[in-house]
Amino acid sequence: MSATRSRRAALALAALAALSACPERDVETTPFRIAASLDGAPLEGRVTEASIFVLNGTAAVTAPTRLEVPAAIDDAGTVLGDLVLTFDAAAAREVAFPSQLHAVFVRVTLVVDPAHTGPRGEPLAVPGFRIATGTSPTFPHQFLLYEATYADDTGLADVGAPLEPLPTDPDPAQLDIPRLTVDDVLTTFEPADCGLVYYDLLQVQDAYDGVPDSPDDGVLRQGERQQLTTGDPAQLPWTVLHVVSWHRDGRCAGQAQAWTQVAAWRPAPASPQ
Amino acid sequence: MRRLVILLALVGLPASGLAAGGPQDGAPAPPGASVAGAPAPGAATEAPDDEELSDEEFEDEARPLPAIATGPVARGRLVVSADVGWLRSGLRAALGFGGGLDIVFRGEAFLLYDGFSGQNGLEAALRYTFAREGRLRFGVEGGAGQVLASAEGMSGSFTTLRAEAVAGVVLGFTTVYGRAGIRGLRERAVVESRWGHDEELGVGVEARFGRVVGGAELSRWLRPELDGLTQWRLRVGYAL
Repeated sequence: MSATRSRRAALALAALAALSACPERDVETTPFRIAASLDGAPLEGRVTEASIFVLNGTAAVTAPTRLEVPAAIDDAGTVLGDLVLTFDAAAAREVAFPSQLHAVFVRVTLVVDPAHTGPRGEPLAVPGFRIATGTSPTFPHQFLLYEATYADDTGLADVGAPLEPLPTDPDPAQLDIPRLTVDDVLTTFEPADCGLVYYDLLQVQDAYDGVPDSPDDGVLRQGERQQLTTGDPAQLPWTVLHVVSWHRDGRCAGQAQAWTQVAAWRPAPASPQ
Repeated sequence: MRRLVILLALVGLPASGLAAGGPQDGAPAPPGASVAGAPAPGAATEAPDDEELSDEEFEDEARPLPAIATGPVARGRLVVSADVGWLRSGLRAALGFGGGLDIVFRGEAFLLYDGFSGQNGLEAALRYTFAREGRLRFGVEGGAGQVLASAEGMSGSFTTLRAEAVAGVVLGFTTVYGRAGIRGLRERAVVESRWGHDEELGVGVEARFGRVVGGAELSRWLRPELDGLTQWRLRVGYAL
């Protein structure tokens, strides 16, 4: 074999080797990293399994992503301590505690699961919470955050408590939060290291409040938002933001099977002139 | 390693095709040129029924030169091809109807990525080549297909519609081309169904060696709301 032919063969092999280094890519997920503490101690230290906490009190929004409820009480009136609730808004900069939560009596319903982990196996002990205002049995909700790696039988992310009627709700049939369900479409994905990662859709419905399905019901891709009216018509409509949902077809060690991340809020009422 | 084995096997195909096709005396004549001892262009207007044409006879006929990415295929003739690449690999067959019209069938899978476990698609398309003489090639293609997707715990399929334009320049025994396509994807969700879409822009080159065509293509897969993906393909085809 001549030197020229050898050189060409080497170049061809080098080109093939370069081509075989195929560009794999994973989804980029930035959790809210919700944290809740009572008197400075993380709530997950109080439980050994997934639990629901309901805390009431007068709130103070001390920063866009920090809400404090001094001397928070449970539904029986027992003082549990000073509640501090925070999250990281890096995934969606517009998400913040609504201003209408400041200096009013609120009802915070949150789930604490010491065993819950995030997309890369990192601890995420507070998958979600919702916050209502007022003292009426219907408690109009104003804000909710949820992020979880819980998966259903089909491998899709499962939206569960506290974004569903709970026994702790005064009137579960009148729950005024959007009903959120993850659905797959298989059309958008990333070729990740250990298999395809499919982006999923988020179905948004007003199914909990006893009102028939409305034209507001819809489906959101990642990053999309939608307005939705639920519950008391006097309340301003929700804005639902689907940050991202995905599920994996094949995963490496330490990776979650599925993920969903969502925020929803009602805007602050216009202040009287 | 599996990827490299598949790549090397594909690269070996053109070589074996050349060996089977007999000696190659340099590059085939460019379009419109006559070859010594052969009828002048235009004289052989009817293709002989003989299916055992030699490569030289095949080249000398007044028929479109074999190509994969650009059309047309000679009437009643078939160009079959296989390609391997990232992210998609596949098989393809283009049947010529004459007058610049071809029907193209293709099947694709993410072969190098995860074999047949990812997304496997089938498509039928019609391709019409407007410019098919001289050095320029320009054609449009429209097709419909179905993609079968499997994932842990679930499987499904969705319909695709695709439209594409291809423009190429014939330079001797090679063709350099560019293509732009848009694909509609039918998303079915429980609450509603709707159409999504993506686009693809590609450039490539093909070279003819008698009935054998080899080629390479680099493309960018553009996805709304997601980062694009760079893809490549190596192709080999045979004109029947």
